Amino acid sequence: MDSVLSCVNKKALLVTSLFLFVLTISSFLTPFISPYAEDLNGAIHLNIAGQSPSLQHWFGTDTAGRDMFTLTIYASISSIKVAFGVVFLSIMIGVPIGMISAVSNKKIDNVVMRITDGFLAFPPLILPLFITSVLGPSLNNVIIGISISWFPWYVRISRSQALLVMSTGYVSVSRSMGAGSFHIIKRHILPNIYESIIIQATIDAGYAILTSAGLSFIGLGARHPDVEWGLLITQARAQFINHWWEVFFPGMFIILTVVSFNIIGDELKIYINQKEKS
Amino acid sequence: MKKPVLKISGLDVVSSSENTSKTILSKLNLVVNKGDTLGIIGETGSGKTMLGWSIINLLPGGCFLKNGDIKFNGKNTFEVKDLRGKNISMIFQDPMHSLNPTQTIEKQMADIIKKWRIGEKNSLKDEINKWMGKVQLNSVFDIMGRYPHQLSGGQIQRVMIALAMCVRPKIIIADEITTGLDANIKLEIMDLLFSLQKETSVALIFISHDLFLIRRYCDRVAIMNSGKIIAEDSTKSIFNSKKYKEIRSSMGVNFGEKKFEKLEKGSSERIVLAAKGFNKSYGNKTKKNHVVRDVSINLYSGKTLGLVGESGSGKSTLAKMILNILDRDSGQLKLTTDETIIEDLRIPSVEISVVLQDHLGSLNPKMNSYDILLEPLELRGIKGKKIIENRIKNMIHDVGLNNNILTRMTHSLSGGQRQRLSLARAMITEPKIIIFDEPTSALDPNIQKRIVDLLKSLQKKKNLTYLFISHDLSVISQISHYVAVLYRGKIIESGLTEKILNNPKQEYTKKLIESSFWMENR
Repeated sequence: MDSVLSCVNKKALLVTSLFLFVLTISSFLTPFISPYAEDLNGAIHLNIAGQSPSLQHWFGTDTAGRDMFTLTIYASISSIKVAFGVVFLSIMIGVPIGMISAVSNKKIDNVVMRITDGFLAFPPLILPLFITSVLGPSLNNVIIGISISWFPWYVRISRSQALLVMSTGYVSVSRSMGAGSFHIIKRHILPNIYESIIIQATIDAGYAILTSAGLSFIGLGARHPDVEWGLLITQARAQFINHWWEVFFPGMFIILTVVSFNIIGDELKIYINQKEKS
Repeated sequence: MKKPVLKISGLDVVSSSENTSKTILSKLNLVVNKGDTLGIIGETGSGKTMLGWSIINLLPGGCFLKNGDIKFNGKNTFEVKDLRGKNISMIFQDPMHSLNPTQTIEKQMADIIKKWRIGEKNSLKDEINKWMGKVQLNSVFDIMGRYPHQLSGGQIQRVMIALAMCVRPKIIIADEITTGLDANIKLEIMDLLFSLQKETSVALIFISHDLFLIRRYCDRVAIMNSGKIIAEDSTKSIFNSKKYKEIRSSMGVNFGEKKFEKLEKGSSERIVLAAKGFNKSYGNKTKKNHVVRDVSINLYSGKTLGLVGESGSGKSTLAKMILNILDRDSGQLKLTTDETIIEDLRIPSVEISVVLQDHLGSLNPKMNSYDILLEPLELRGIKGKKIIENRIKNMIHDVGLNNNILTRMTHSLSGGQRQRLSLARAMITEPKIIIFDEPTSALDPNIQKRIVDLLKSLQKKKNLTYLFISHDLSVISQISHYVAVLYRGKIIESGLTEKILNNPKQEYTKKLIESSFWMENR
């Protein structure tokens, strides 16, 4: 039974990784190989507007006659940008703060943790919503907004993991040899906690896409002529009943991408746990 | 003649994965009679625990019985209904993980008793109370309503004994049940288990690597090595007869005998490190917990001071304060070396190193052996690739390891190798003083002995001063010239090892000596 499960898991991991890889490559190639590449620059073809999926237009066309397949694939650039941008920024801000907090004295640790608690007190979408509305709607501001709202989670994870490492014998020995905080962070904490950070980052990458699509949907994210899944859905939502494909395909890609990142994150977690056990 | 309750003949157990097959137990024969106390000793990995699991048909995945059979009361164990629990009980090594953390003690006891419908005349509560009384837990406040984490290690082990005994089994298998318990509590638990065993005349298979306990409590002993029983006889013969001399010395059986380090005549009395009036407490102004109270110790050049005490007595706290990785509330630490005299040392010193108990936890799992040895040199600012490499290679050689371990990660090393590596790390910066915090308690007796011998030879060669902390007086006595007994944060007795062991003044020290050494007139 175990081997059957691990086989299924391996297949799921292979399929999801392949999906993300092909999606990324094809999104970058879309402007060069798609026969409807001009649609990406806002071309309008009213004669073929609102066509349902066909052999010419696999995902149909939108109300301006643009090819939905080209738009949907190309839109993944924005999503991948958001996923990596958010995760990168959150880690860059959160992890150092968490590690410094763990190795600092109690007073500094308390101050850092209370500030972190303050950030975490906001409901998940409210803070990015507020920040992007202050900075103005754009994809970069979405990244900044989500990152500011999410970095406290990385402070928490890295601090708790770092505290575990701090309580180990090898850190005690290292300190008895005169090691300072920076040495302990570099040689002991970071090598021992990066795996949990990567697991969290992979899972968060999916949710970042979901949040950014949500912000674009309410008009605070990407704006025309940018192409983004949330934006595609919001542009088509009025025609949802008659033109289902305009909402269905971008929605489908959001789900597939988020699920893919989640599966990869879970598999990574299982792999690392198994490695630790053995 | 006693009736055999368990008969194992020609038992072969193998573990097999996709393409490899490994013999775990081989051609094993064993007979256990009613009311017997059989001790099984052997190194880690010799198959002791596997034997226990085979008896109760609970072999882990991938392992199976290849040949031979195990008969319980003349019947193959596979055919015995309700073998586990009702007929054979097992008490495991790690009691904290053997109990359900989300259920109270009462609930867990009740579940077992209800399942086997024991003591139908008594009500369930009376039956549980009776057993709590038998394991002397009835005086603990609200013991029934407590959860496992609210009990101490000794108390949990008592609950486990009650759980195993209350079903009135024919055989009890006790697997390393005293590991991790203090010397005094260890004896209390064993006394309790064996008095209950005599009362109920249940057969007891006692698996342990603690030779002292086996010698004290068991009638018969089987010695295991690489899945085989290499000797089986009465306890007296195993420990005294000439026939088993070789086996005894290979297992380090000398441990448990009253032997100690004597001071050579005319040896120097120069103090290298003097801790004076050390105090440490935790908590706030209203409620303070004094962990170390007015402790003063002196370390003499080239000599070992053994610091003994139960867990929670403040041994490790004291060590951390001497290492200056934990601030002390008050006290002075004077370091005197050939080059310098520091009146009050407040920062970690290059002259003091440490070796910790947990040999796996004291080595960073993400570093290989070379990096581990490189770290102290880097921290002390030693540069030059050639110099560093030579120093590491010499050190590895000094502690009896091979150069080929330098590229290996620590988890692939054995316990003894890891402890040698820890020692190499402590000594590579050439300190004058080394603090050992329970360095041998996680090791098998024969490896313990080898490490202690190594420490002694290195001390002589390099004129090192040791502070050797342990809860095991028998190990301490092997290496220490002086002993200090720490009890609830205070030193209650100190002096020459010989003097303390032969003529202890304090009641606590007497108890410690009794629980650590083999007394002929037991």
